[in-house]
Amino acid sequence: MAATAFVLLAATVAHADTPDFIQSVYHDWMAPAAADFSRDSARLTPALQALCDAPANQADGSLQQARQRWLAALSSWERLSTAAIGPLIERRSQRQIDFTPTRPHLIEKAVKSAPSGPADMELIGTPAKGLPALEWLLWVQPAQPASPECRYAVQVAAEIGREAVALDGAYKQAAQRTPDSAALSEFVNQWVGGLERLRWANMEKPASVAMTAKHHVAPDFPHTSSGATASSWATQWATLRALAAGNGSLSMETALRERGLPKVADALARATRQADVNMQGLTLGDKDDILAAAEELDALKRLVEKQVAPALGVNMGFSDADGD
Amino acid sequence: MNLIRLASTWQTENGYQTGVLSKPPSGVEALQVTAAVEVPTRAHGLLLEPGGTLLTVARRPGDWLLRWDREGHAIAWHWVEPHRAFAGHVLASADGRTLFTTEMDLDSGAGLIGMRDAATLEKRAEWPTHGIDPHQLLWDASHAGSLIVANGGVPTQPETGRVKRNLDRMDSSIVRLDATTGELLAQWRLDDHRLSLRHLAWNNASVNNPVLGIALQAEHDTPEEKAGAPVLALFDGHTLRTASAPQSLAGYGGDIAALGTLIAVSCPRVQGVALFTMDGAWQGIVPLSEACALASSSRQILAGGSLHVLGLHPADATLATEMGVPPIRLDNHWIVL
Repeated sequence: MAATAFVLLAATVAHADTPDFIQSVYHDWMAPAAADFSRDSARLTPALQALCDAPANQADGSLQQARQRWLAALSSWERLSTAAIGPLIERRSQRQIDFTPTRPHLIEKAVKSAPSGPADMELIGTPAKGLPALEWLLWVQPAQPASPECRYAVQVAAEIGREAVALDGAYKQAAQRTPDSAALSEFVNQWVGGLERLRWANMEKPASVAMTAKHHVAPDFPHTSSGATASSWATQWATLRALAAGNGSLSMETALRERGLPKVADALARATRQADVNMQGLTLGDKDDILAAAEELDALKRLVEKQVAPALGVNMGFSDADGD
Repeated sequence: MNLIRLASTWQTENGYQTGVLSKPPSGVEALQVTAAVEVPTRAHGLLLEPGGTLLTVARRPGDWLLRWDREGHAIAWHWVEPHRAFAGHVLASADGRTLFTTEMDLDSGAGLIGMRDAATLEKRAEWPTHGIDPHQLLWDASHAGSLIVANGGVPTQPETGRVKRNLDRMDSSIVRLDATTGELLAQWRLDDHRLSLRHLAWNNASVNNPVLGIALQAEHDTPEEKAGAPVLALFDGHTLRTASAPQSLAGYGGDIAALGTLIAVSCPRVQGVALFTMDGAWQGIVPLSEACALASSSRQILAGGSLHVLGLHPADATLATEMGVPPIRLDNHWIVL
């Protein structure tokens, strides 16, 4: 009878803290991150318009300003989207805002079509839009004042801004709601997905592809054209770290401790610290450090899949751990 | 007992490998890792090429295709083209000069067959599979010059990886494609749209009437429906039907192999290998913890589990072999070398 009572109590506690934890994630991370992204995106359009309107002797200064705005928008986007839950998934915002790899020929085609507002932009495919397309228009083939490319860049920025406003509103609403029973599972799965995207797609795979190429090629890390690769990795990792361990009520570590699971919480904290050590100060030229950091991220991922997720009662769908 | 050698994929404490597991003719009654190649993400299907080299494909949605040799040397890595993902399986033409990979278009979600130059692994052409979520493909033993492809039919999105979404829109099928042009020749679906057709094995016991066994995975909404779902479908070249079992197999068929008149489907969620005749008649279940990888040698069906490997006689499914496994976690498939 006592054992049964304990199990029932534990189950009750588990159900009570899960909505609190997820509500903290929405209220204290996702909603503020969405607000930041909306703010930073809103600054893109006027910066690009200023570039388009700049006289020749101010063109370079305007270009630099537009680039700085883009870098700020990228950073706040990555804080929002690294562990994408809720409205980002429902709206498929990642496809709209962060479609990679960039397709220059589709950007050129879109420039020629000269869209002039939201209705025209709806007819442009996602591979020619979003932050990566703007990166191309600001660094790879920098748009010049009064050019069709610049006018197109303004439209791309405006569309990002519109989606950012929608996300801001959606996350404010989500932060006020009691999360449903699937929210914890979505969070843990998407956290693992974000970690794997950083580890494999953004770090280890580009390095591996370059290492196995028949001829010497530089790794195709994301955002090399803007020089934002290392800062992008750092932002993504900072987001994942904050949601994993430490950080008050926001982290999986806290959720585990509140469930009376200190050993798993300790293991998660240790693995996060270990990964953090390796993620500091990475530079693109140091392949060994990059691969070592990726290995620690992989170890952290395995821990979350094998120990943290079961301890939180989460079934991993976005993982290496499920069957085929 | 003869030498047993299998090409396989597995997980270790530190990551993933593909390699060779062997048991010598005498001595320790256990498989041992005799060759291994580190791979960066979880692996899935394998192919023994006509020239003796091996191919391993990343599990879907996968980035890589690896050619390696039995000594554990990586010969060539091939990275999937932009906006494409490997779907875990590869097949070779009889002359070994062409490879066919199941793939996914990450933009549209459509299933594809990549036709590749075997020497360079570069893609020469793409064909639609007329479905989504393709899995395994085989040469069509019932229709010369064509391929049979299993479309698993489970919708997913790149943003959420392998998470299944909108299962009410599931659309699983097998298709027959012309192996020269990719033209769709025919397509078959089961009445129950929540059964995903995944892995394939031909039973050629009746040479003029080969039967294709298809391992199924149930995607019903309720545990009760999944528990009662079949794990085997049969295709005789014209019609597709399911085979029933008198007990629950938890609706999950992991792998499939055929030998003699037997078709075996591994059912890891009920810890056993389910056995049927090629007509679909139930023959029982052989207990095996976490049973998954299945492969046929000339003499037995080899089934891999978490603690043991069993070899089953094709005539009566009695135990021909029992071996230990090394301290690795075997994955979904393996092939006999």
